[in-house]
Amino acid sequence: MDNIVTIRQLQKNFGPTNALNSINLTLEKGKVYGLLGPNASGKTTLLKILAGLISSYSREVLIDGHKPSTKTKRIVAYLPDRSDLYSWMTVRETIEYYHDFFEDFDMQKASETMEFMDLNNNDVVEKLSKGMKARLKLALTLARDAKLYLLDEPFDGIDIKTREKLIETIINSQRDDSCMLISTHHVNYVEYLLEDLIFLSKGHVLLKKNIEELREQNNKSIVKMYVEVFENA
Amino acid sequence: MLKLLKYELKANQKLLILGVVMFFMFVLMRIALTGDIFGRVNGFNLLISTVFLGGLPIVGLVIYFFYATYKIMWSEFSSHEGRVAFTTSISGFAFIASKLLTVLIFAIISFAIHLVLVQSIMFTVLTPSYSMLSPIRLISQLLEQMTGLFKHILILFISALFTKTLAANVKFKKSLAFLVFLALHILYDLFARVLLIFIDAVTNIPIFNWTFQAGPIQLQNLTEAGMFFSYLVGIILIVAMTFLSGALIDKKLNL
Repeated sequence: MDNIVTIRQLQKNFGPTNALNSINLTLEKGKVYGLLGPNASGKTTLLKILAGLISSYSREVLIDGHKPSTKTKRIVAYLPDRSDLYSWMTVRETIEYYHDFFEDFDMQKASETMEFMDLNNNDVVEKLSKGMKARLKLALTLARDAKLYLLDEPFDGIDIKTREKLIETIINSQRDDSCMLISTHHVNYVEYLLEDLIFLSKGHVLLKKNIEELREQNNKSIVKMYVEVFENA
Repeated sequence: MLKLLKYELKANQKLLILGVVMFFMFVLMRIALTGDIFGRVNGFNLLISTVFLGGLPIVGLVIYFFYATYKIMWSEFSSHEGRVAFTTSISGFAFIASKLLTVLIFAIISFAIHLVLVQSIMFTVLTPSYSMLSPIRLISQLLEQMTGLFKHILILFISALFTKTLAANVKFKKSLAFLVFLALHILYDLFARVLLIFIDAVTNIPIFNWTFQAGPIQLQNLTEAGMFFSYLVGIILIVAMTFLSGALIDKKLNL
């Protein structure tokens, strides 16, 4: 086993609110994980901690053996749930920005993905539709040769056609030396993408299991299990 | 850091162009009104100059500079736009330093406009013997204004940064930020004074040329060398505050 992420007893509070509670988790290289849970279950907080956007938490988080820092940001590609790009830039300028600040950014891969996603280099980010912004964010994130990909709600508010393109791009980007953690509550969209499932509820890990084992044990679809688990949580 | 500076300038290029246009517009207005950019203003021309160059344009200039500074320093914190910068391996120091350099460019443009608008009128009329074009006086004035300006910008920035870092989850974070703002002002003045007294004590360079003591109140005037050292101390403290801001972003970010 080659772990890229090790989390021990992670605790995160926002004032009196307990966002993450005693999280223990390991993520292995070469796997695609689904982080599933309803709203306010702590998914975004967990991803932000791994991306280095939230630095104050209790206990231990290690990415490739290091605490989240500017050093780990070199190997972590994060796709946030909201657009974090500069709205004044054109698509071409966002590509240049990524090329300037991410050493692992692959220009060739970016150009191919942009073409596949029907993105025009001269379009200004501000003028792009929600779906096109989602395509751009994913294309930029996956054009990095990162060790850890963190995708936060990549399919939120986008049409079927765009979703199919995003899923295809994710499938094409999977590598043996990298790990992907996809946070979503659209279980049905990603079911066939994932190898392991992590169910998160109210800051707790309810379940972490291989998706095939889960199906065999319960003889149910993941969507059905998801509904049952979170009804009883 | 140069790459960051390139993007900061690109992000604010419209404001930058506006500043340059304003400068040339006011230069032309001043020449049209008084016949000379640094010439002495008298009589009716003084009245016109004061109205057209000293009133509303000054208010506009202040709004322009503070809007630009706010936009440069705080845009990534006030909304989600640009937060991609915090997912890169750029150090907090480089991030802040590039922003401060951009503000410096705006400050120089604003200072130049300020010279055209007010200073030339004031100095030629009120103190005609004061040579506006003396390079030493100009540099001294520039240093004094810039160190003062960046001191205030950084203290304000660090105080606000508390709401996005150490105090992000505190209930009364804005009140706390205000207390930090007051405390930083006191600490800055204290450090600056201690450093000047230290320089005065360990070197032969006279820093203070007179002292007035009345009970607990003590007033000291700085010599020319003292002024120079006060700017130097100001620059040292500004660099220290830039490192502090960078460390808060690197170690305590809470977005």
